[in-house]
Amino acid sequence: MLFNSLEFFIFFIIVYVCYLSVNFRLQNYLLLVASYVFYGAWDWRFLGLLFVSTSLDYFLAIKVDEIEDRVKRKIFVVFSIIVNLVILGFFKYFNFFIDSFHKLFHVFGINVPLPALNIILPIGISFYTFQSMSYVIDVYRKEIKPTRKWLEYAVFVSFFPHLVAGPIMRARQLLSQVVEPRIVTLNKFYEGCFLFFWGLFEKIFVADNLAKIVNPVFVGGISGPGYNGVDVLVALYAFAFQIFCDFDGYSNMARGLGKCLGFEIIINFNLPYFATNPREFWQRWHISLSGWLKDYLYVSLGGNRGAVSMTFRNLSMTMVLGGLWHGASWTFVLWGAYHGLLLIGHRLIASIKRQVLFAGGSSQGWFIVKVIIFFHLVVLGWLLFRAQSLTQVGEMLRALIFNFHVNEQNGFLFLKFIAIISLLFVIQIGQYKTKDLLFLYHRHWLVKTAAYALMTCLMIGWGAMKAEEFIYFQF
Amino acid sequence: MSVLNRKMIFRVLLRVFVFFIFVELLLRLGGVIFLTVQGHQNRINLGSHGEYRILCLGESSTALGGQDAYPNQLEEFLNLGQSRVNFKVVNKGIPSITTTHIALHLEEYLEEYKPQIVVTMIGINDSVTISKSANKIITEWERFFEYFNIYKLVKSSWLRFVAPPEEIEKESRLNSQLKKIEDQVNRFPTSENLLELAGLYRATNKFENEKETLLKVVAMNPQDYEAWGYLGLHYKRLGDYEKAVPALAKMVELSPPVGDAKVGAYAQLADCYRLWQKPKESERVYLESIQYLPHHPGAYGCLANLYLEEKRYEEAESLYEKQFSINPHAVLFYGKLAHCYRRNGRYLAAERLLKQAIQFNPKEAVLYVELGSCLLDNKKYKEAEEVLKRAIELKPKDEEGLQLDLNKYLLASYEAQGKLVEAKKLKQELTAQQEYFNPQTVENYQKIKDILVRGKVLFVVVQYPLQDITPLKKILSSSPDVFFVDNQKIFEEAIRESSYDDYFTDRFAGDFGHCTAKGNRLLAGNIAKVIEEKIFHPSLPDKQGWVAKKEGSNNDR
Repeated sequence: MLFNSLEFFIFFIIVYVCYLSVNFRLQNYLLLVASYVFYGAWDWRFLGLLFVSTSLDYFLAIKVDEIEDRVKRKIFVVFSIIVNLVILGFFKYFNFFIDSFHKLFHVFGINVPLPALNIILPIGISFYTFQSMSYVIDVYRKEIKPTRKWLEYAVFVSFFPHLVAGPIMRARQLLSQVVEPRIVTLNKFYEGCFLFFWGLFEKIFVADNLAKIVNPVFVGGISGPGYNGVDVLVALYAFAFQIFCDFDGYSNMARGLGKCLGFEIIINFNLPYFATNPREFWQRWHISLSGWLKDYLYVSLGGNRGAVSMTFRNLSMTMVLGGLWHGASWTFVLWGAYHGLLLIGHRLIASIKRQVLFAGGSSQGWFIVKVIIFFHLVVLGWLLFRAQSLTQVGEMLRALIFNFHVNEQNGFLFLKFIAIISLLFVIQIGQYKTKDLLFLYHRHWLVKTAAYALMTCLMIGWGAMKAEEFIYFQF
Repeated sequence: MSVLNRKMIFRVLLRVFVFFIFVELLLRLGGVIFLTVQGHQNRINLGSHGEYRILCLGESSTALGGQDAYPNQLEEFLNLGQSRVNFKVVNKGIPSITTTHIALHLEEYLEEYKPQIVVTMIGINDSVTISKSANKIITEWERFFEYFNIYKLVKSSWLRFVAPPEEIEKESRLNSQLKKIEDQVNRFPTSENLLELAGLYRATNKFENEKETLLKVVAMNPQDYEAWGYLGLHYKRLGDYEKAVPALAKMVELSPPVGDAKVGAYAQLADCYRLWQKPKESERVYLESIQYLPHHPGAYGCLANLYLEEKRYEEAESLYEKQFSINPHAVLFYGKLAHCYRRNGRYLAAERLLKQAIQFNPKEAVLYVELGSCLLDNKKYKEAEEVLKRAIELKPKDEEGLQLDLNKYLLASYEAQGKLVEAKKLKQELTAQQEYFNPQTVENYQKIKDILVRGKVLFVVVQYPLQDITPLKKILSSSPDVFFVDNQKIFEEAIRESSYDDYFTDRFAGDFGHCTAKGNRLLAGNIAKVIEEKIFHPSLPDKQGWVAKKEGSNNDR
């Protein structure tokens, strides 16, 4: 069930009413049942997989905790990691690897008949496998104690607001809330509703309308004279905001739902386009994933404790794998590598800056320039991310440089883009200035009501009725 | 959870109220912006002289769609392939307006745009929804709410989410089922699968396919009586009795001696003969059936009906009585037997019969209606009124004019009892219900026509997709300058070929909605056809045929 659908609305009302009427113990049972129903509505065939993956890690974690012997503990945690990665790898990357092998051998003129299975991707698999892995690793690192109640662990993994598209939460963030009773206050309910409404607006109005600008440029390809650089640029700007609003929208909706139920779900995006350097960007973008990559991949590889070259190696490996996490395509890997390069580049420049004591200025004007420059670097990365193939990347880059013509049509397109993001943009500035993501929520009631009215009209007037699925669902 | 108190409730209500005010204001602001932009675009559109101007009036189904709205596509169609006449089509559709608004502003528009043709597709927003599935009269409250844009907005959004009318949902379900079964048949062509496929073809009106499939089955398995039966029914449905009879006869021959199949087969065969105007054969088959299964009631009643048609009343009577003695629940035959009795002047017997019938079948409205009619004949007006009212309580479906008869008799009972007030009220209700349009709409249409005729502007009246054109033709009596565009069949066929969602984006009007680009293209093409064929004759000497029926283009007025 998509969050912006009638079925989900009815589902949540029923669950919520029951949730508020029962005691804490029953609430957890209710959440488990509701989450499995929710997941089953997407595809009941993979409920079994979810169940098996959950139970396996539950038992493995207990085992890891009980055993004293270091070697044996390591074996169990490695086993858990391998199983999770194999499941993820099989469903997500099998065809990708087969395809790539094919192409590779083809280059040498060898035609290898390898099987290509028709594998369906279970929804949310990238999220819940990573979440499970973090739990077992945390137990191994003796940072937390495993839970001895299967019910609690299962709720932690399958909690429906965040099950299909994150945020990926750690045990100490979410499991700790599952084992304790939750208090739902009227304030939390209002905040939850606000977050959900805001997320809905981002998704239905901003993201889905931007998609109408982005898709015609990227899908279907261009024949004849090729792309127009301006079209590509506007589409990239639109995509930058589309993917942000899509994902942030979903995360906000998840946060809102969680809040209504008394849970604090972590923030996943913190005004990422206000970042002025790559390191800051990754502290603001998809926070739960980058945090996970840092804590479990980067640190495990050695982090920045070794030589500079080691650090660079670790950075690039982490980012490449982070890119691969997004999907089974070389464009994602390239995107990850690109961000790895940006991070490395930033470290180099930062160290040089330190040596040269370059002040750089801290004025607002300079800040805005830095934001704009870095934004364009990110936008270039989005070209890699969104493109359908490497060839398309090449063609579009060529268009950006050599075929950059402004005309009435793309001027109009740009204006449309501005119109769609204008309200969001204004609110984001407010959020940044007050350092408060609930900026709109904390304004005077008249202002809020006017804003809600405007957003409602926009959603009803231009909200996509045929829901375009969240981009991140295919992960 | 904190406690709700009065102050909090007041706060919430206040905010909700202010919210609605804001939304209403925004909608009106949006409306102003829309009109300004439209006016601007229209001014750009019209330029030089030497153009043939067509003005399109309507509401959201005309206005919306940007480049794909039907007026734009109409312009493309008309200009396609010819360069003699430069057509310019102006889109003056305004979302959510009514015919009153259009009639009021028509002269303004004519002044501003000076068109040669005015095309209208209007009426859906007037108080009575013009739709097959929704014919109700709106209450005073709704008329008040219609004033607020926000109410209209909520209503139309609701219709986007609400389940579609049964017929349309059923149709799309059937189409997907059909595809599945076709696949199955390709893999496993057993006679069961083929029969199922034939059934689905029948349900989706693909009769040729049905016939082919059935012929395949009987070729594969000549003993399959079911297939013969369906084949016979297929021919019977198409009126091809010559082919139907042998197929049904085969079914009679091959069907097993136990069970309903044989009786059904006899019944269908006899009915076929009857429709083929061969009553003797029909009678023979019924008698055979009775001989074969003397305890099965069906044949008696049907044969009795046949005798009734041939005016053999006594034979009919005895058969009906036999029918009821076996099965008193065969509701439809009571009326006929009562008719027999009344023909013979046995009015009381008829009355008694129907009362007995009602005892056995207390929920059958048709019996009450028959009894009502009978009581009227027997001059028992008060009793008739009571009985008919009980029929109304049963909320009968409107099959074969049952409602009509019911109301007719009830009216008669009122008048006979001298209850003139009730009679008048009933008459008003009936005329209102029978009217397709509400009187305001009719008046507005006529006003529009008068203005256009006076201004010597041609009037092209477009009926909405899937809707019947006859009511429109009725209220706008023929006039040489009024042309009608019928969109019922063309859209029905198009939807059958692909799907509803291909042509419409929603169901705001019940059984149709706003068009997709494809829907608008179909609509525009249809209108263009009417304009080309009826207004511009292809029969004049100019091979291109683009000579206007009326004298030239009146640009200066």
